Amino acid sequence: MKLIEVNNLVFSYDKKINVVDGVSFSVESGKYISIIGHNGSGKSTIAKLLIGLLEANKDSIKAFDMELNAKNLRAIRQRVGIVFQNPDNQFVGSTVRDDIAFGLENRQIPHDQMDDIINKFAAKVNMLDFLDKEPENLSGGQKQRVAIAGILAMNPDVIIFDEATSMLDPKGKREVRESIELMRKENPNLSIISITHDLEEAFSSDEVIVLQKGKIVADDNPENILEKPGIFVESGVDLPFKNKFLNLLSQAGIEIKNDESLERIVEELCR
Amino acid sequence: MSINFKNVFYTYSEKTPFRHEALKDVSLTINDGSFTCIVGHTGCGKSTLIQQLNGLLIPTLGSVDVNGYHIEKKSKSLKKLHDLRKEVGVVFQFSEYQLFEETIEEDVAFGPINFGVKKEEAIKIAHECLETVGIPESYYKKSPFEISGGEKRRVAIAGILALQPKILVLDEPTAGLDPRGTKYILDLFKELNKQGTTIVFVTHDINIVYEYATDVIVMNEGKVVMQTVPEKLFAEDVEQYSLETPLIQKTVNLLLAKGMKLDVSKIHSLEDLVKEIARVRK
Ligand SMILES: Nc1ncnc2c1ncn2[C@@H]1O[C@H](COP(=O)(O)OP(=O)(O)OP(=O)(O)O)[C@@H](O)[C@H]1O
Ligand SMILES: Nc1ncnc2c1ncn2[C@@H]1O[C@H](COP(=O)(O)OP(=O)(O)OP(=O)(O)O)[C@@H](O)[C@H]1O
Ligand SMILES: [Mg+2]
Ligand SMILES: [Mg+2]
Repeated sequence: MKLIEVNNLVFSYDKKINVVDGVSFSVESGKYISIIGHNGSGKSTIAKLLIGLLEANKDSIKAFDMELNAKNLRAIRQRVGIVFQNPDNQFVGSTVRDDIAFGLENRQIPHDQMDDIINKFAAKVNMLDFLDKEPENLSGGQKQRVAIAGILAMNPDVIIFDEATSMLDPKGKREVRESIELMRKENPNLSIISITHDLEEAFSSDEVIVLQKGKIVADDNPENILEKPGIFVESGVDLPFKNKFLNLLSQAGIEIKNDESLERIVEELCR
Repeated sequence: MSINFKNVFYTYSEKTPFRHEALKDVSLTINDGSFTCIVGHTGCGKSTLIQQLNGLLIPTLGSVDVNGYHIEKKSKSLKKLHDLRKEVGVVFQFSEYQLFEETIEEDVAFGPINFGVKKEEAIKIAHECLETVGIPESYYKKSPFEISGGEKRRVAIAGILALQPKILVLDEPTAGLDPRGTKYILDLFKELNKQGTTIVFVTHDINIVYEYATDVIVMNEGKVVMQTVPEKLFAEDVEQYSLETPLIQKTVNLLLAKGMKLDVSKIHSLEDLVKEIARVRK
């Protein structure tokens, strides 16, 4: 089932250059999609178009079988959550607790359930001790944790992460990944769109979309994308570690047959 | 000259219920000409620490010496902080807040102008620095608020480079940069470092520490738990400091465990590793 369908999406900030230039893709329910691409390729703009923060061209975006337009915007936003690139753009509450509560209120969650939900999601991102702090007085990684907790708590059907974990420590990244996996188990229809520069993350998702100057230059599963090295040269992205390693080995005349994992590669090298 | 922290404590919101001691008795030395990485878990005090380097935050207790400037509460030399800021350039974690001028080129030129460079000359410097960080000419007259996240980061870096600081302090400067931009900017810092600029670099990316750092400071809950060189750090189990093992180191460890006789001292990059593997297999 397609939760979101994007069809020939075009956008220009200045009415001259299209920074999103004829983009089409769809988000199947339950899929984890990564969008990668050079700085300024249009990733955040697409994210803002998807939630109606910027106005898309007519009939270009459909979500949950509704056209994205002024009439349906509210209903769609109830089901699509976004974590912005800069967490400060996210905060509305004066404390971490208020901030998470705000999203829940928007979804008309009964007040007597709120505390439990807030505690549950603050715990998931390790921020229980910070509930009474002002978001602006947190460290960079703590801000990102709070922004993520706020969105997870709303239990949306689609979550868009716009570089939402870029400042987390490795443990924090792992915890967020685990929380998302858990939510996907509970709700197999939950779809994730992750805009990221983290290649290890991107290439472990179900589908990778490569964006270049506002156009999609590849949209496929990771294995297939990795077979088209030309894409990487042009689009400012890079290969994940394992593939870089394999390429260098191959240049040195060492061909590896079983390249499933780093461990396998090492085994073969030591044989 | 170097940088010296002597028993530095820093407390946020003192005398309020939200009082938070973010630095606890930090003493350390950062050597001139080093590429020093600062690592540690979320909230351990990295950003608080580096903000002491140009007097943006003043130690609650203790003192910081930077290039001959003495920073301590009540010390007279605090007046001279304006001069210090020419020598110590800081790119903040959320560097988009560093941008404020109408156009990108004016934003980058602001620093030099502020320190007495004529406008025309400053704009010339700005253009050079923008080119260095990969911002195309068509952007120079754009507003710094109407560009992408990674582009803002690049402009903020250009703004600090334009000051030609002796000490370059960078708080997660590559977060938000695309992979190619990251590699390019890192190599740029490395080059500046070779030419004598001291680099202080906060990061969660342990692979950067592996490939670029000459020194590393590990923090935990407001304290410095280790100041060492990368080789020594990675010879230990780094997970005890909530750090990860760099991917190259991980590969080396796997190969060593399987009995491959690598000369570890030769390996500083993936290219080196592959060369070593090829040599051993011959
Ligand atoms: N508010 C704005 N006004 C005008 N142009 C903008 C605005 N925001 C972004 N742009 C331009 O639109 C293009 C796409 O920007 P976008 O933020 O979507 O890129 P991105 O892929 O998210 O990049 P990054 O990886 O740096 O976050 C860029 O060329 C950028 O300069
Ligand atoms: N303005 C402030 N007021 C009160 N507490 C603060 C303030 N800024 C930071 N803190 C607290 O001080 C501690 C250290 O914060 P700091 O920003 O130095 O961490 P950090 O190591 O840079 O973390 P990160 O990796 O997440 O950026 C954190 O627990 C944070 O909540
Ligand atoms: Mg973006
Ligand atoms: Mg920080």
